[in-house]
Amino acid sequence: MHLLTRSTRTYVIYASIMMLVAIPLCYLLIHYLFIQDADEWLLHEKNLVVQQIQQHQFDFSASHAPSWQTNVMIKPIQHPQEIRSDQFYTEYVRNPLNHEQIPYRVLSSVIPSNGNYYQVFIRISLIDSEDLIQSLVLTIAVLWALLFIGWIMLSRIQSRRLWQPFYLALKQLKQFQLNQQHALQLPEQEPIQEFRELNQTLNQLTTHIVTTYQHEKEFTENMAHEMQTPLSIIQSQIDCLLQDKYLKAAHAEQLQYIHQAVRRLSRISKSLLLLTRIEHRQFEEIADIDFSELIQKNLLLIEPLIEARGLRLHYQVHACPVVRMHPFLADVLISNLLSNAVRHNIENGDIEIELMSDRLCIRNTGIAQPLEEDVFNRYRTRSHPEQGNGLGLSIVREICRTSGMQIHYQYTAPWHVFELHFQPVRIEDRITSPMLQE
Amino acid sequence: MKILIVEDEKALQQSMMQYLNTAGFQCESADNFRRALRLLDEADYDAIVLDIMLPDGDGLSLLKILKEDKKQEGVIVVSARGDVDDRILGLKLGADDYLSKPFHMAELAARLHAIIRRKQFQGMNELKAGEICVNLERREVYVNDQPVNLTRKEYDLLLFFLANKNRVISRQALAEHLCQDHQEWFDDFDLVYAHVKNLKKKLADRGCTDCIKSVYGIGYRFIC
Repeated sequence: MHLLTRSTRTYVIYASIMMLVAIPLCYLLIHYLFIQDADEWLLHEKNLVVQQIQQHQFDFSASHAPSWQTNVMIKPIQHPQEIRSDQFYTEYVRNPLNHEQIPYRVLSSVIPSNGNYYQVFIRISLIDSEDLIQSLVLTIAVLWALLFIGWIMLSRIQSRRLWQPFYLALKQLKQFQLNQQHALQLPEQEPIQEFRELNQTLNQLTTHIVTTYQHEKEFTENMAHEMQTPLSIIQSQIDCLLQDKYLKAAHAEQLQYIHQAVRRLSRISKSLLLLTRIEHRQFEEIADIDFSELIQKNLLLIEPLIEARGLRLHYQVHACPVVRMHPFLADVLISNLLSNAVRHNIENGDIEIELMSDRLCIRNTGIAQPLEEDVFNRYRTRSHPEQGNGLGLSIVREICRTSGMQIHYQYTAPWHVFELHFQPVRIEDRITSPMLQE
Repeated sequence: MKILIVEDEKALQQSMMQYLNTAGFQCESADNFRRALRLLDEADYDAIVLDIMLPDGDGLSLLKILKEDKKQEGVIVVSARGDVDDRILGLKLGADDYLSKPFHMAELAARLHAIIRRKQFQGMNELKAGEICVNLERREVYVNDQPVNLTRKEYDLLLFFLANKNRVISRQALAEHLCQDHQEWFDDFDLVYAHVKNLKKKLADRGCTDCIKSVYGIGYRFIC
């Protein structure tokens, strides 16, 4: 729910309740006032009638058969049980013309005159006042509604203007990316204190994050670089020792282990460095890479291995897509995927490579169960640590992420399927790069 | 073949000297920028192994000076920074090759051989070792004058062996040489076995005596 919706909602609920309560109340009040008014008028009329009766000016002939000739009806009565005071009531009379119920306010009263008693009814039609009340209440309701709508709209507009700095900060925060290495630069001169503080805090926080990230990156790079020199000393000493003709076989074997460990250490640090550099988007250069050519080049290297392991390779090229990305990363991507398919295969297994215009599908046989959940994760636990350093697929994912490609893994027995989706470059848009020619 | 090694790490410098000296190179060494300049003034070298991070100056500026003086030495830049950008920069400045640390001595020897061959191409377009003869210009291999049809990788492998004759070459060194930038294959010695097996078979088919001996637990030795 939006902030504005939320704050407006409260007002709308309040306004609706007010309308529901206030409009009937208003109606009742006006109605009451009109009745009061009518009653006063009726009393006034009664007094006139009483005066006429007592001065014998009243013409009874007209009301021998008592009926509503005018709005006054007088009935002589013999023995009143009790002389009741004035009684007001409302009655509805059907209009014979249009069968409408017409409301009347009636005053019934007993008037003594010369020993006779007269029951007097005086009435007044309320039809006009009813209409008036209805129009009045409707007008009030409409005015009220207009007032509320206007008020809510105004408050929305104002809120929006008021919250502007907040929305700006939110927008920038959403666009904030660590690897762009720019802290947020929100205006710190906001007139509203809370927003000023918010912006200041965000600026400081992102500056801190960017600096930390930068340090981490430098640390990884320095670490990776600084490690290489001592490693190369160990390496070169081993190379020299291996040449020693007095070297015993057992010692040679031990040296091999040291040797392997040194290489692994070196490679892990280089892989981590590569990952960091990809994450920091330090591979800016782009070129148009012919994937079929690249795959062919990589297959050339590993074909003897595929042969030696008795793997069957089915390579189908349905299209020759060209993808725009960093040439080095393209090479790493393809060779990592192929290496994965060969390395995690079984004896006499199969590899199927299918290259289509917008995707590359690599299927291989392997262990008869799907790989663990997050196959691309950097630090997933590995069952066979001797098979590569486990960073290969994370590098693949990182390359995909920075090059605008998608990689999916799924297991459909007996195949482990890696599907790479990419955006091919159209023929007319292709560029060539000096790196490629090299 | 005279080599100048410019490297400030004593231990590394010594082992390079030791390996290359026994591999048929004559080596001299400098552990800083000034000494390297003096040595370069005094004598001519066939190739220079240059660490680009020196205590008293950037190896790349030494490279610039060399190129400005139009020196003919081949230069292999050695660096702990294995970045692609560094490599490109080094090559742009006129280095002939680039090796990132840590590297194998066998790899260094092979690269030095290749550079020197390129620099003095005339009269050097054939390599002979026993019954094997390599025509470098046409990239063809003959055993007892019979052509051997090698793939590019097998040819590379053979040259690598020839550059390290009678040396023990570890499987790692071979794996990394074969795979170059594809480091995910470096641990895969099956790949080395497969390529070496094919090479040996093709040579043997032409009647070559078995000159690639495996050294148990370590790797191979090319004997001639």
